[in-house]
Amino acid sequence: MSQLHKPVEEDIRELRDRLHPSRVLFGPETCERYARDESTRLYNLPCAVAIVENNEQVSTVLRWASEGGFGVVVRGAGTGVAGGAVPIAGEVVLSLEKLDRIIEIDEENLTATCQPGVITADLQEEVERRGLFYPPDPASADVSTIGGNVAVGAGGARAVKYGVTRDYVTGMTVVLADGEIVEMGGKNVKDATGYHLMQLMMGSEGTLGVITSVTVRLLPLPTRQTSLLVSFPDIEQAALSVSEIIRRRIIPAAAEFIDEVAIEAASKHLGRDLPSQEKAGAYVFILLDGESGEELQLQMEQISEIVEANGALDVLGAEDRGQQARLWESRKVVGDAMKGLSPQIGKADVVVPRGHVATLVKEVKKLALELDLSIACFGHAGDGNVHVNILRRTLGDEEWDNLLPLAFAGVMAIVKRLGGRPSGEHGIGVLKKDELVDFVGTRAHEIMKGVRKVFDPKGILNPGKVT
Amino acid sequence: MKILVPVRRVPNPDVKVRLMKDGSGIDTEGVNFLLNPFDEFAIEQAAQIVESSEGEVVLVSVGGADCEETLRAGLAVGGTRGWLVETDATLDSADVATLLAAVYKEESPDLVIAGKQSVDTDNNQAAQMLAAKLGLPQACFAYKVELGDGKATVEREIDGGLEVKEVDLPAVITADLRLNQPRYAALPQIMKAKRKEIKKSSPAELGVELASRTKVLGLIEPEARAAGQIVGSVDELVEKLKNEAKVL
Ligand SMILES: Cc1cc2nc3c(=O)[nH]c(=O)nc-3n(C[C@H](O)[C@H](O)[C@H](O)COP(=O)(O)OP(=O)(O)OC[C@H]3O[C@@H](n4cnc5c(N)ncnc54)[C@H](O)[C@@H]3O)c2cc1C
Repeated sequence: MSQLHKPVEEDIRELRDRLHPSRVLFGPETCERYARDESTRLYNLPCAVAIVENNEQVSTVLRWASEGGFGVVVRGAGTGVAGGAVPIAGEVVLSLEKLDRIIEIDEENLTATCQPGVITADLQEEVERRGLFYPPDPASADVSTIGGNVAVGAGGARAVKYGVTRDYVTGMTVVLADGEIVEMGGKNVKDATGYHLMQLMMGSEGTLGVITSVTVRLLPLPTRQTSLLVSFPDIEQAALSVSEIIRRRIIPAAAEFIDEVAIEAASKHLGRDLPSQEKAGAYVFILLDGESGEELQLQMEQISEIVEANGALDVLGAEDRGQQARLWESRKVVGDAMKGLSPQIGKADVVVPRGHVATLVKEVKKLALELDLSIACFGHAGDGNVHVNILRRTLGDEEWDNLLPLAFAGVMAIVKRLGGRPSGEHGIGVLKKDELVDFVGTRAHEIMKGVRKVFDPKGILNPGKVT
Repeated sequence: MKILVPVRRVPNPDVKVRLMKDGSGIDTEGVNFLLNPFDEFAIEQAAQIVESSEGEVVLVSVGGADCEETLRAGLAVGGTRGWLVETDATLDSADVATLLAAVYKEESPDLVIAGKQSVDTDNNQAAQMLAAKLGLPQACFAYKVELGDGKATVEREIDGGLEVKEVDLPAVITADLRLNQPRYAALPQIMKAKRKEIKKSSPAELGVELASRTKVLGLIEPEARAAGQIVGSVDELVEKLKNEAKVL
């Protein structure tokens, strides 16, 4: 990767000539919004931004980059939180925002094929209008792109019952680093044809190729849903309750939680008090879905018994869609709301076997006390994926620079002990490279680097990220 | 005190509005429906009033059989019982007001509280028409409601401030979104709501013959907004504002 060059003005002009002058942007104001993602801690301007409109243009950009040995950073919506879409060395950003067409919804094969820049929620809405269902639902779905979801291996709340993005992709088109276009998979439900290169693309975070179309399988849309919001005195009881619900063989579509720091953030963000806020140290949010009202009602009653036996303060519910949305509001805004408490945040997105969530949050809270730091835990209690946010709040530079690595290391040590992984759904990007090596081990890490070299011998794709 | 609260079932406003191919209406195929958000403020206000005095909150909905679900949602957050005026006919605001007036006459409530408008058509008419038909005073867009002896004092939102109005009861009040914070339903409330009484009648049973005087001739999508431009300098900006946008 050492032979990479920084494109000079002439190179950028060459790129404009090959593409189209209006497709290449430069200048600080224009490129500003391509200089960051949602990691809140990284910022660097790209030397130029190429906004492509078809696969051939993607090839053109990559061929240009391959020939000149220039780094390229692929970008969807830039909602990633690991720094994957940030041009850390001032690379050219290849933005797929204009590749935003749903190509086909195949009602016979129950698949949808779309360009990578399609907004996740738009795809969901479009298939739902036909009584179909694309379950992966990252909290950022109103903004994030399908390509970004696939490239990071995004999860979401409904993973408890339905799995993550990876579980739905059946095919994709990829433009390789040298500009060649390769089809992987298709619309097939089964596929035992050699190595699944497509699986490697998922979680590759722009380092193996540019995904230019995605085919996903769809399910029939469950017709009924019910939501519950349960408040607890503390997060550990909340986590134990969720484990107990699952142990009792009730699998909600989603089972989420937020702790007292997150409740404070959400309340501040929404500008109002939240349910039983004075006493509540945690909320659990549950989404049940299915076909029959009776079945959901029965589950609702069983859950109510379980949480009450585990110290629940209040059990609120909603069946009307609007009332459900209101119930979920504080969970939905938490990601953004944290920024209102602390402009800088150390974000860990750890995952542990789901039975260990209570132990995880207990130990993280202990660590927060020891370090005298404000640490929020929230996320996907039902699948073991917990977002640990380390808040800078008003800490001075020196204190923050000292404490943040300590807190990170502390959290990772806990996760390792519990048999977990450093990222459940946000990916490695720039910020979690050390954890990757630490958790997968040197041998596996060598293999990953080897794979990357086969895909991209010159190392032009997202240099400095992931491996 | 008996309070009548009209509630409406509307397509989920978060789902992008799409027109039927022939432009005759909104395509609601595959769209989910919910209780009109403004009606939640009306129900909450009625529930608070009844809790602090005594009485009942009667929810009334006009529409298809699915409206029963919407009524149940309202019964879980403060409604005492429901009344469904069942019809699949396309109704304009005047039809709705006529049907509500018929229910009003049967119930003789002390007060009507409605949401200020339904978020699908945004007509903002039915409650005002209802007041006119019944010859009742009205106070729309309520920000604060206080009940006195046979009177209500209503602070209502107007452009740039609040207007304070006193109306004799019975009256028609419509709720704006800063009126209160609608409650969440506790689980037992939801279960109870499933067993609460919902009376059903047809327009004919209420002695109403529907005669819509409004006909929708067609719907047209708004024009897409032109993309913005990024200019290189202040001079260029001034030049464009003068010669292209012609606003200087
Ligand atoms: C408020 C908030 C809530 C979130 N909630 C969740 C959640 O619940 N679950 C979850 O999993 N994530 C969540 N995220 C993280 C983020 O939204 C996801 O990682 C999402 O998948 C990123 O999509 P994007 O289009 O924004 O990608 P970007 O941020 O633009 O890119 C992410 C990475 O993918 C690469 N990439 C993007 N598109 C392509 C492509 N077509 N081909 C190859 N590489 C590509 C980029 O180079 C980069 O490395 C959340 C983020 C925010 C800000």
